[in-house]
Amino acid sequence: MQDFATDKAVAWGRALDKLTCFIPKSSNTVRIMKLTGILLLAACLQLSARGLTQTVTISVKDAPLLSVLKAIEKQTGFVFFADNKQLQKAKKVTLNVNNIPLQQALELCFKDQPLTYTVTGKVINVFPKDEISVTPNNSVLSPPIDIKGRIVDTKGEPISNATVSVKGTLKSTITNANGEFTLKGTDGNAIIIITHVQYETQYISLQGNEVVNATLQIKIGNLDELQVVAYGTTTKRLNTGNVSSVKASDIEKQPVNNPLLALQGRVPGLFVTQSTGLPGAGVTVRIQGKNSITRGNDPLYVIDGVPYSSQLLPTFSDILGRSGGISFDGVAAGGGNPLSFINPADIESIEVLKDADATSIYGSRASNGAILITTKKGKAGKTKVDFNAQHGFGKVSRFLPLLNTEQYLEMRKEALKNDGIQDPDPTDYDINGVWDTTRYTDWQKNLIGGTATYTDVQASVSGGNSNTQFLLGTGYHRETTVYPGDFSDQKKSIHFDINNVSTNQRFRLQFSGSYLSDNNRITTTDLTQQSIILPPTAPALYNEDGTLNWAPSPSGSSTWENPLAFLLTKYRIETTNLIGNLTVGYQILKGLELKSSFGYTKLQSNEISTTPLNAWSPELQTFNPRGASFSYNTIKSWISEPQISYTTNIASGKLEALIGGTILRNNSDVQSINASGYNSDVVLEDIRSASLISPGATADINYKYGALFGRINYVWQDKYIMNLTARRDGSSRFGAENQFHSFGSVATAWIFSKEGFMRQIPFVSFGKLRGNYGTTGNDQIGEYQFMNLYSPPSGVGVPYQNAIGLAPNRLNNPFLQWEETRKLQFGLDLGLLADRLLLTVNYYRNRTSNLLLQYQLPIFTGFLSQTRNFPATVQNTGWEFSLVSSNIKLKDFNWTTNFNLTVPKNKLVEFPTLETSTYVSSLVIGEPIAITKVYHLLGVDPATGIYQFADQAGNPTSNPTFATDANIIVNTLPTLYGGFQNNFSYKGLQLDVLFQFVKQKGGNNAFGNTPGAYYANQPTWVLDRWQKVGDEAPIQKYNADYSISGAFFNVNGSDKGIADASYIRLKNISLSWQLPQSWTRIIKTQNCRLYVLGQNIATITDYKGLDPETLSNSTLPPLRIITFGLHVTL
Amino acid sequence: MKPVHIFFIIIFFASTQLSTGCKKIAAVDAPNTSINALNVYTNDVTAAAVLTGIYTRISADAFTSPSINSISLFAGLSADELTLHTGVTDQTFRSFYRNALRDDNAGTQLWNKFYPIIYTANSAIEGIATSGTLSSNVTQQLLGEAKFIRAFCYFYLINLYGDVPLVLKTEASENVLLPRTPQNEIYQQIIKDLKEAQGHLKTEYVNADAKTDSQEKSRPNKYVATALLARAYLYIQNWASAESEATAVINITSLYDTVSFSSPVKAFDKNSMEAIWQLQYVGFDIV
Repeated sequence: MQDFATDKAVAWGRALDKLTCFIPKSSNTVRIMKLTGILLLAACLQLSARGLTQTVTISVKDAPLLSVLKAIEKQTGFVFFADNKQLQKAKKVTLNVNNIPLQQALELCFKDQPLTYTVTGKVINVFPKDEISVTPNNSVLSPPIDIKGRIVDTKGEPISNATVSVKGTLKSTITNANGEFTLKGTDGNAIIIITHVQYETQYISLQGNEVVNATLQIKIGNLDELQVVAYGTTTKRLNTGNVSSVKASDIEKQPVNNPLLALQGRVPGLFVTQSTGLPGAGVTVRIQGKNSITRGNDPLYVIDGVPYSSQLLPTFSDILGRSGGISFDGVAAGGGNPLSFINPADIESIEVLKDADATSIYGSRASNGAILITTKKGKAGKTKVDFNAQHGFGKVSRFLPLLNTEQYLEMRKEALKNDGIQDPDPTDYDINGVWDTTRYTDWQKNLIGGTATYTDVQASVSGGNSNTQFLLGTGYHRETTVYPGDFSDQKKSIHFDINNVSTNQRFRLQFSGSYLSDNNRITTTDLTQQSIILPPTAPALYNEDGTLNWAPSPSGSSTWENPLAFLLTKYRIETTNLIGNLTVGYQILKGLELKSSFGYTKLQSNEISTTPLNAWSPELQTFNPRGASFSYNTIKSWISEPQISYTTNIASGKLEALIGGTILRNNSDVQSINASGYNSDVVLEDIRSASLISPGATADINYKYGALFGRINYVWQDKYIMNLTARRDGSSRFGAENQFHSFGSVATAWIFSKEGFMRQIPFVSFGKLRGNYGTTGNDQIGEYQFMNLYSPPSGVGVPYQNAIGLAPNRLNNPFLQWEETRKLQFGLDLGLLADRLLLTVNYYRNRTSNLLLQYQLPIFTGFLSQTRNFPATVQNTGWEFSLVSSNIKLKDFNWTTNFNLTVPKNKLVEFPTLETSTYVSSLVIGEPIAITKVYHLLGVDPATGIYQFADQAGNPTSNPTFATDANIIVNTLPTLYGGFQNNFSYKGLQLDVLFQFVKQKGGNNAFGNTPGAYYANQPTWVLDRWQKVGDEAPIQKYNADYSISGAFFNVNGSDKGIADASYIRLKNISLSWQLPQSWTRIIKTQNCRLYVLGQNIATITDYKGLDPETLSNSTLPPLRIITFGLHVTL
Repeated sequence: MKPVHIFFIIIFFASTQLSTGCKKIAAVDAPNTSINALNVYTNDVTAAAVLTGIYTRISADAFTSPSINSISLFAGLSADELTLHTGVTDQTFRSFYRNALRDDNAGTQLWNKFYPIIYTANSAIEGIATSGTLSSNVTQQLLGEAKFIRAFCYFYLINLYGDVPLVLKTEASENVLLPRTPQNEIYQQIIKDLKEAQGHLKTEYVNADAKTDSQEKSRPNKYVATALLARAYLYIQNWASAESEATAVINITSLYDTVSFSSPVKAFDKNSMEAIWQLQYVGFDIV
């Protein structure tokens, strides 16, 4: 306690001599102020009345005040802040009271003391009486004055509804929408206390000033911060479920083009991976592990109440990488990620819903968790113009060390010698004299070593009064690639929000929407693989005349594939995304509200891929004509959700009930066309110029969903909480026999810090135990899976009798239904030392059964398998830890730490008839569902120079058999992950540093890429190879004729080939400098901030491949991006 | 009532009205890009397309096509119709050529190609017979085609493998436990199917619509069924019936005749007079 006392003493002394412009009051603002004032005052009274009903029992004689206050702290959970010196001056206390209210006890304690106190929330501040200067003598010296002022946050945003009170008096007021207040007749030497539920309390000594302007710091890890949950909001204090939030303040520190990437390393239980470093890349998101073996594992995305697609429709090219989507019936999810078409700057907060309590209300859609995105809303206040621009650069941060010319040539010659080949083959251009063997090119530098530019500009206008608020934002974002050539991804977006509440507060309306247009111009081939395998001696890219160099051999045929030819195959994806949401609500009676929300989304993308003639080498141009492919993909959905909610007080508790319904329609449409036979490269995008046009993939998929849902929440004495949710839903994805089902959850929480016995442990300021159990379903099983569909046979060139035939494409299963996940969760939330340390621990056990698998059938039934729900069970268990610590909290310097850690475990618990199923080679009972069976590598045989593996008997062999000898099971799921964030602020300077860490295994490139073979450069560690009989070396002998390539492929599938790929990544650094108010006044802005942001700055890892996140040498790693920016608020 | 109230009431009830009829909410029609078992046999065009699909599959799916894995090739090797080049080391070809088949047919598993077609034929027979909305001449033609195809598949199956499971329905839960049926019983089913097919099929060849007459011999007519029936009788040594059925085909000289070597349309050409049933090539054009 003494510790705090010193802090507080500093805070007391915070006399504000900063002055800002005087804001004249308007009659309007006063009216609003009155209205909100009355409402808030009522709320405060209720709160304090409840708070101070705590009782105290004390019997002391001539005890020091300090010990009495400590006793009260223990009994009530309230915390005192006082200067130790002042307490020593206090008179001794004699008290004998039994179960009297706290307020009364305090009055008795301070009756004849030179000290007094104020109560703010659970904090009691103790001051010397003379500071308040209420003596007549002082009054003479400083006559009552009228004070005015404005309260803002650290970004210069006005804080409304802050309580401004005069210490030691009952005089208080509330700030209006502009953060302004007026207090009449205040003593000129009084101390003003400014409090707000989301901000740190501030004390200001007036010293005769009539204008009081203050900047409040946001409370870190605030328990009373608003927490968005499914169909409503709660607070961290009263939440019974496992929900984590990432706020705009963290999102905007990260130069990312997909808001999901801003979640990396910040949320326990959430594992996010980026599949390439290209803009618009695929992003895989897993919440509390992988539940389904064959079906989707994506969370449910909900943007402002409107469900949003988790996967894109099929695309021509995979260059953007997958988002962990599934592929069955020959239809694969497309490259890229739908969330790329949401502007991160429009987002106010992202909530990650994990357990049954948080997700059961979403029924059959949220077995893999849910991610709720809430966009920015207009705030009441003076019309504000916000402008934020950043520009920067991106580069590949990690290259592979590859062989130089000398090492490469030595390898090739040694390989031929090992193979017993005297003269190089006529096609071994690298060593047969066709290529210049003195050349050296660093292909990584040439092909992926460029600098990408990153530009992001956001502007918004917002404001309004207490009835109506608005926000209109617009954004521009452009990123280029590290490839040579002109490629870019460009996004333009607008976002708006209008809120209205009627003057009697009964009718509410909210209308928001966003539109984003994206133009991603890339190529169909990622050059990363080329940059790694091209020999260092490969020819120059261009001829002297500027044309592509195909390095023709003496016989005239091209001797290499010029990598720049890949870049000539242009690939353009134009996407537009529209999201609209309207919510209207009406309060019929006190506590009873009817509400209805409507949402519409339309995600449309047009793809064009064009191959000009010169993308082929000269001799191939006659066989491979110019071509183009066109695709039009649209996902449309609308949703309507009427709801009735009721809130009332029962006994000494609060009951909230909600009933609602959902109707959802979704349509996905794919049309694609292939065209060829053009006579010019110029007209490739014009389909009429093609002489041959053939249809490509098509799809027209409808999805309908309807549900009823409800929730009952009861909070008794802010101590015991019960939360019940239920949903009955029906989905068109399920068979007619099993179309409807009910899901539900039961959750309880106990805020034990409210109990009497906890008064013995004063350093525990908050403690809550949570537990819940419930069911959810996975409906990511594909559309029409239960139907017996007939489709045209594939691979038909000339239709039979010129008619399109039909064939049944599966054995239908009218009993087909969802996969079900039963989630059990326990949690503990602790607030220590007046909530300066917030610790959350969760344990989860999610069991998924009813898994959809292929049931093997004899072919005489017509098909080899049928999709059936299987009684197999997958279990995900894990521990999640998160710690928020306010390490140093001084007037000018703050240091806070955020730490989170997840230890997940995945296990196949049960799988009847696994031995006879097709899954026998990929699954093992008791092991995770994402395993690879590998050989045990014994090393290189010193006699032969070939890798040796242990067979099932443990004997060395260079030709192991997979079925019997691959007996080591490697888990490819992460086994530990988390993040470590530190935030430092000194006056206007703020520094954030986030580290992300992952413990996992993956294919690690430790053995090169068939060392010795033509057209494949190698990492430098292959130099450590076997050369002669008796050599002990980690790498087998060089080989050019692929005679020992079997051993090479096996070594990549060994326990050394799929090995540790753990990493620690300096994910994000953000440094910003807030211009002092005296400066911003001169340039006539409310707020001005300069900043530097960095993403993927450095990676610490033993992983030998290009990047441990993508685990691939053929895709571009996530780029290191550094930007410089300016944020101005007018 | 204030305008705000009216607005709200309209909006709220608009949203709740939509939720009437729970079943409707979650019911979807089949996608526009494919037909399902419920609607495929409700109109002539799609019903005929199912049979067209069968011929497409027979032609494309390594059945009788010029593919290196075609049944024609294996059966030709087995019957010494073809001679295997001495340099061929492929065990599959050699085992057929020497009539030394392994019990797994050395990996060719030709039954995998027949049963999916039998499934489709069974589903067509079930669907067409119960449809009620197809025109009667199309119903007859398609039932005949489907029964012919079923007989055709079983004829090959028993001659390749002997006793095989006899599947005559589509319900997988019933079919899954079927044992092998003795060959002679399957012959009786083949003869039954072919006799019924004779009654259903037109005497003319038809187009893909299963109605209009065609100049091409791409779909089975009554004489195709008759010819196979003659062959089935021959295999079970019912010489008299074999002869009479064969004669019934030979007598139709307007459609069938021997072709002289000098004839402009050669014996193995398209629409040759010697051909009874010809499958159309459906692969991609080789330029």
